[in-house]
Amino acid sequence: MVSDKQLAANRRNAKRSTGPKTLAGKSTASRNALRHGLSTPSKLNGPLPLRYEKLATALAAGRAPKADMARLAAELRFHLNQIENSRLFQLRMAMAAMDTSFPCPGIEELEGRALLALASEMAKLERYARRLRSRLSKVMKALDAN
Amino acid sequence: MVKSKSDPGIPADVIEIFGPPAVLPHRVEDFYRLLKALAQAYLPREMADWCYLWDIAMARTEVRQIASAKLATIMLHRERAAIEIVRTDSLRFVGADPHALTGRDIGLDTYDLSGEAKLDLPKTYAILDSFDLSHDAVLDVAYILASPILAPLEALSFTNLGIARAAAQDLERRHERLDRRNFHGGAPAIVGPENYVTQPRIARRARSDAGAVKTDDASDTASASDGRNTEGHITAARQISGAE
Repeated sequence: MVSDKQLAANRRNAKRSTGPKTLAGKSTASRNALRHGLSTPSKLNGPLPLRYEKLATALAAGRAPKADMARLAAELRFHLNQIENSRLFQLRMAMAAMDTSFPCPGIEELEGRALLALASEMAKLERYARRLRSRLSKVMKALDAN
Repeated sequence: MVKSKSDPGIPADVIEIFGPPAVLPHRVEDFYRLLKALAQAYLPREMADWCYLWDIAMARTEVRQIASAKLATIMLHRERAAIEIVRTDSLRFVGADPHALTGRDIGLDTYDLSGEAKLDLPKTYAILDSFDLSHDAVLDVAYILASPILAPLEALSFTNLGIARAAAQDLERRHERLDRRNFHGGAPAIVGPENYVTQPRIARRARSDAGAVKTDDASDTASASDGRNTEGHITAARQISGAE
């Protein structure tokens, strides 16, 4: 049982230390609950890595009026690639955490074990990927249509 | 597109734009080999085609990854399977009572079917190796024991096969669309299969507008098979009507 004096001290201390104070700290704390950010809707016309800008240009070649649509396709591919990279990162982490003491498994067996451990996580990521793929498929078809 | 120096099958700009594939290092070579084989089969014409091919290659690589996982699962269960077989297969241990075998006899410190087995691994593997683990029966039993765990992997594999199939279908349909468009010379009046019907109708209407003689089936077929010459047909029809 906590004494009244201790309780009061705890509350005083909590008031003094709870929450980030600086703007940078608040910005960091605002991302505490962020896991992968894949469920947020993609922002159109956001900055893209250079190679995806090149992809947008290549997709728009010969279809000048559909440059926006080509950029959207490139953007969706970028998000899809993010999911794939996230999946790869998780797989690598799981493989690194595997016990390889005895008997030392081959790389494929290790990969298999890691994938097995991550099966449910992979299925969750697949949900986001499916949504993006469906959107991308429609955009690609629209890009070809007259 | 410029062909890459390292891999003549895949253009350098494709490799540059798509970047390194999101696969483990030991699968990268397989991935590019598969992509190259797909490119030879589907003959990509522009970057959009490469997008589809890339998706197919990624999905197929993932299917192979999952196959490894399935194999690993079965291999992990082979010890339990071997123990089950050792316990029940009296033919292979003539003179020994299989029910008298304890976990300790085959390298288990503790053995409980429902719980986790704590293994004295070097001893277990030495004994299991002497039982010929490549024996089909061991792997069959291991597969049965592992099947509840394999279910989510089967689902993932099925999803990826679906992705690969959908991308391949989309690519084939795209090529059909482009072929049809090129065949008709530029953008067709109406997109879709109706196009084959509407083009001769357009030509026939143009000819009748120009006062040409009524077209027969043969000329319909001719205009249908060469829709891009619709303008030419109109001109020809005008010339015919003028001559008549």
